[in-house]
Amino acid sequence: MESNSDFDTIPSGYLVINEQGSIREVNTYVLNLLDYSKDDLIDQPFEQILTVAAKIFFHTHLITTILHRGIANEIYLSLRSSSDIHIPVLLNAKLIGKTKDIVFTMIPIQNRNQYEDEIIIAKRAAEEATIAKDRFVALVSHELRSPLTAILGWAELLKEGRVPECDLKVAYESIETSALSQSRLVEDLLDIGRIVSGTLSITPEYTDVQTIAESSLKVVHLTALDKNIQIVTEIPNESIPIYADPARLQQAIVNLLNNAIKFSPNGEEVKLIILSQNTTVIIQVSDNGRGIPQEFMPKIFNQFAQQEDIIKRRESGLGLGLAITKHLVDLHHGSISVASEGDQKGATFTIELPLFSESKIEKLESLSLI
Amino acid sequence: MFDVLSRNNVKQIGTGSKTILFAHGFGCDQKMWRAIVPAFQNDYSIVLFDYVGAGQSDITTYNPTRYKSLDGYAQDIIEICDTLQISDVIFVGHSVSSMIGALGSIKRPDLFSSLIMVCPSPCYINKGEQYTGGFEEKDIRELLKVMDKNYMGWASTLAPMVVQNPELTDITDEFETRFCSTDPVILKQFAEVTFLSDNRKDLPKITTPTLILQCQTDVIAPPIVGHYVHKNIEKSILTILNATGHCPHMSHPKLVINAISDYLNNVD
Repeated sequence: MESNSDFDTIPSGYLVINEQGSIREVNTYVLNLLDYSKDDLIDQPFEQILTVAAKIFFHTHLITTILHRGIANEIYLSLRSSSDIHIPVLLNAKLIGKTKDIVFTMIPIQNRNQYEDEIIIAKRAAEEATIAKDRFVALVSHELRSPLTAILGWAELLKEGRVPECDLKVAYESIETSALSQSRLVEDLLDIGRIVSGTLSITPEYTDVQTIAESSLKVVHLTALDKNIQIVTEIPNESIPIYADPARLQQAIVNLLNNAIKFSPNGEEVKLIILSQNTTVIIQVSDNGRGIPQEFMPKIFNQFAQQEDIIKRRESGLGLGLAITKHLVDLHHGSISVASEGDQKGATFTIELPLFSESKIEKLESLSLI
Repeated sequence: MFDVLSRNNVKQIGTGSKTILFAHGFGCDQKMWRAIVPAFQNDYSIVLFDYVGAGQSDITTYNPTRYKSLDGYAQDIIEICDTLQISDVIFVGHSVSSMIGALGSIKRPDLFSSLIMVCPSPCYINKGEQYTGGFEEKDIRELLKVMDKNYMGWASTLAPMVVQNPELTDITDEFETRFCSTDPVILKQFAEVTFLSDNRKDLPKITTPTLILQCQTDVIAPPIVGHYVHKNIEKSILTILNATGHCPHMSHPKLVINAISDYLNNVD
């Protein structure tokens, strides 16, 4: 193989296979890369140096291109060394018309391969995020329109004097409820905006969990009443001190209670349990509602995450509540978790917050959170 | 309503009372049959087409739900035959298309007079002791990654392009202005559907007379798979070609032409 000597000096792989797919020529670069001697490879099938996946790709996709087009460039394949180490390479291929030989040149791309893997994963994540955001925009439009329709409808009827005296109260209440609901949506959207831009902050003070829990229960009282849902509480009498932003912690608890009410059938029970354990306060909200499918669990605290298609949804809302709640709990140096036994088996959300102590305050102060 | 013939870029050539329908396999389109077609176009009507996503098919008609299994592709074949109002069709399918044609023939046996399977495999994945398909599921997952890298990762190196290769003057023709092309996203789903499918239970349901062409060495569909297919299709003949690789109709067209001609002459 004297004619090969020039190829042996070039700093990239060179390999020729014949019409039957056997290796006819191979240069030193390939031999070193794969840790073979020339005798090991000459007259052996090309597949010997391909990984299984590369073999399939070669026979199902690449060879058709080479045979049809006569050429294929920058193809990613994984080669197999004598000790079964997988070596990613980029290769160019050319079909020699007269002999039907195929000439390959190749360069190993170990590091680039890793970067490319990371880029592909990042690209996928970005594509998924874009889809989620598109869906979210559609959802926001839908959710903002619903209360608006009610407000405009009643306003028109009132303007035209078509609401009988006895229904005036219903009309004003409906407008108020719809406006409040829209106001809550806008507040949630603003909060998500603040979370994304990193400007959502809390103003903590010394308080106790009971006070916040009581005020949260007042907020959801009417909503629960509407669905004939009883909120059963287990709240200890002795004060549990905490260093927290009362309005924001209330928002977190209200979000969980509202969710529990929303996903429970009429007449069911929702539970709010508060207890202290060592250095932790536990706030637990559970319901007997429709539960959370296992596959949705990892995404449940993601913003824009939707369990169902907008069109098929039974309940209203932007689904931002849990993302906001988690962020608020994080800002309080706490954690939130969810448990559900599955479909129609209810769900339990548990917030754990650090119990008030002098050392904790010092820590928070040092983090300039005060 | 879309037009089936433009959806699948259906081409008709040749004359003859009998029709041969050629169905392409992976990584290419109807042009993969160009070395075979001329041998039959004087005696037969030839129908060529591209699967949705391949060649010059109408990719706007691609529906991931319809094509989540090979049945969707089989339905396309049936619709092509119905639209052209052809029956007694000699169906020639390469690789995965063999199974697509088989599924079509099970659903509509009236449309097909024979099936010619070029390198078929009803199941590419090994199923314990009972069946050797050649691969493990992890290999197929790895293959999908290789496809990602080659089709999705960066500028599609396998995308359609015009290449002037003077070495190939003997096999180039007017088709060369456009080459095998396939939409990368669809191609990946096609590969996923194909390589993870298991159509072994469908083989005994095939009642159409079948010719199985297998290569002596083919890592994708090894002879053992050919024997399995033969054993499970009642009216089948197995011919092992003195060829290597998975695309004998491209690499060894004469052998394939002779095998098909011999079979059709005997059938006639």
